[in-house]
Amino acid sequence: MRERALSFGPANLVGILTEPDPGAALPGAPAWITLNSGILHRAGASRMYVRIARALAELGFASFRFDFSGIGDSEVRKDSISIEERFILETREAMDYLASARGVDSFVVGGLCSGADGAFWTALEDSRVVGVWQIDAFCYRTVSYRVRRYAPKLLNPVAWVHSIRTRLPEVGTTERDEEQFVKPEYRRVFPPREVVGQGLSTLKERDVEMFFFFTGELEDYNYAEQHTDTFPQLEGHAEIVHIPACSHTVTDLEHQDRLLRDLTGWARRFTHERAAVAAG
Amino acid sequence: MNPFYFGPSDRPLFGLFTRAREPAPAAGAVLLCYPVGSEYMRAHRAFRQLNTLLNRAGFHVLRFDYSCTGDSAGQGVDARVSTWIEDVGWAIEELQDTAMVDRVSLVGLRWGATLAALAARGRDDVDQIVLWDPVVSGAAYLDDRLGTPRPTGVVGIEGYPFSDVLRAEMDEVDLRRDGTDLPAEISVMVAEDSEAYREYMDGLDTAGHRAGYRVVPAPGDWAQVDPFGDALIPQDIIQAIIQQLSRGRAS
Repeated sequence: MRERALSFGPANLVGILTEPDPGAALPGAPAWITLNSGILHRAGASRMYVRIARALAELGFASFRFDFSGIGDSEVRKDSISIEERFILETREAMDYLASARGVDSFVVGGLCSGADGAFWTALEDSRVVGVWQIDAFCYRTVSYRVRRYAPKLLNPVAWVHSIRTRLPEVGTTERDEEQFVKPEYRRVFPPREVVGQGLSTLKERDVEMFFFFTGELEDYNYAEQHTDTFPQLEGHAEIVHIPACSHTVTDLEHQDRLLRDLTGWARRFTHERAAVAAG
Repeated sequence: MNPFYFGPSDRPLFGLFTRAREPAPAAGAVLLCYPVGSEYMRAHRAFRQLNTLLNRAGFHVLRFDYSCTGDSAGQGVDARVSTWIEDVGWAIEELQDTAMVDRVSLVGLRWGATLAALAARGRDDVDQIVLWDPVVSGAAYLDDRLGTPRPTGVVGIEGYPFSDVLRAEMDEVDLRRDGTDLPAEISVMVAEDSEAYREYMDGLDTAGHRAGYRVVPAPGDWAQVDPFGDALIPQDIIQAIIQQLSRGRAS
């Protein structure tokens, strides 16, 4: 495995290219690109993006983790493009760079939270994307979600008391000096369900592979099949993992191992399937 | 801005070098030493800010990731304090080569401060060391993060693995014992006064150092996750560090 630090594109974004040892690369395999989550730099929460890149290199994939402009080590852009537009523009610049420097013509994009959102929007815009993986992707409440969430509480008087308390204004909350904090530019708002559903259908029609990993800290997600119940068109076309005990930033070491195992397993499976189809 | 790998071939270290802003002549070269674990992620934005302001004040700056952290080689479970101290030495030499200077200053935050102090021992090429909220006692740090009795094996602290060996090495670190024999000007800047800091300052005083000690109140705690996902940038301490380095250079 080899790693190279570089800057690329018109905005001089900073990234790390991780490549398999010479001779170990899978011929024609897509390159993986991981996208920042919030204001966390490219190493990723709990250094997961580094571990993912190195595990993928062991399997023969090249991967690239970089910082969007204004995040991590990348400079702030001089133009006034919104963060949502930059997700797509700069991920495409990363793809352009890898295409010209490494001759790669297909990509798997993914990330956690806002990185997941950026991967989804980029995949819709750029047909070079053949795979998308998302940790805590857009999700929507279903009937089963509501039953699981509210039914136990309806029969529990303690929950009623807690519910009333949480509606009361908080007392004694200390104010903080806002000048000492930088807020993430991206404030996550889930688009209407129909928009995401339509997008996922488009990706499916394009035969884009999909992997979803849901943690237990996404308030709107509470059972394994919820994503398939919401978007039944994905049944049989996407891999979905739900770990209720897992934190949003996957801080538990066992959950990190599980994520790594499931994600690389998905990579291995779909790559072999595509190779088999290509070989006839 | 120049992102690159340097250091030993068996464990390349990620570094980012930025030059002093023209046309001011370079005032010196500063090595920034990050904290470790989750504090590294939380401090990254503040370090970037400090880096930018130091460049504007005329300093060349190198910041880098220790072995087994960030983008540098190695897995988290293999991290060692002893290797991190060696890494600071590699980074000092890299900064000297890249900036073409003979002497450098070091600024470290939390464990980064501690590592900077330990790495500077026995060197004659360090001008100033600024210790920002240093970890004075490794044992106290681990007690705070893990409680007692301590767990065994590889333990995760907010997503980062701390092996038995790493924790044993951290346990052995105490600046009050090991961080007073320093051949450089020392400034300790802290967000909150504490007995451990004052004991360390007494130790420096006994060792003949006229070290500076400043309490610059700042909100937030590097060990705490911000509930809003925001980045803590303690502006006053950052400004105080730049003033200190600039003053040291002018004197």
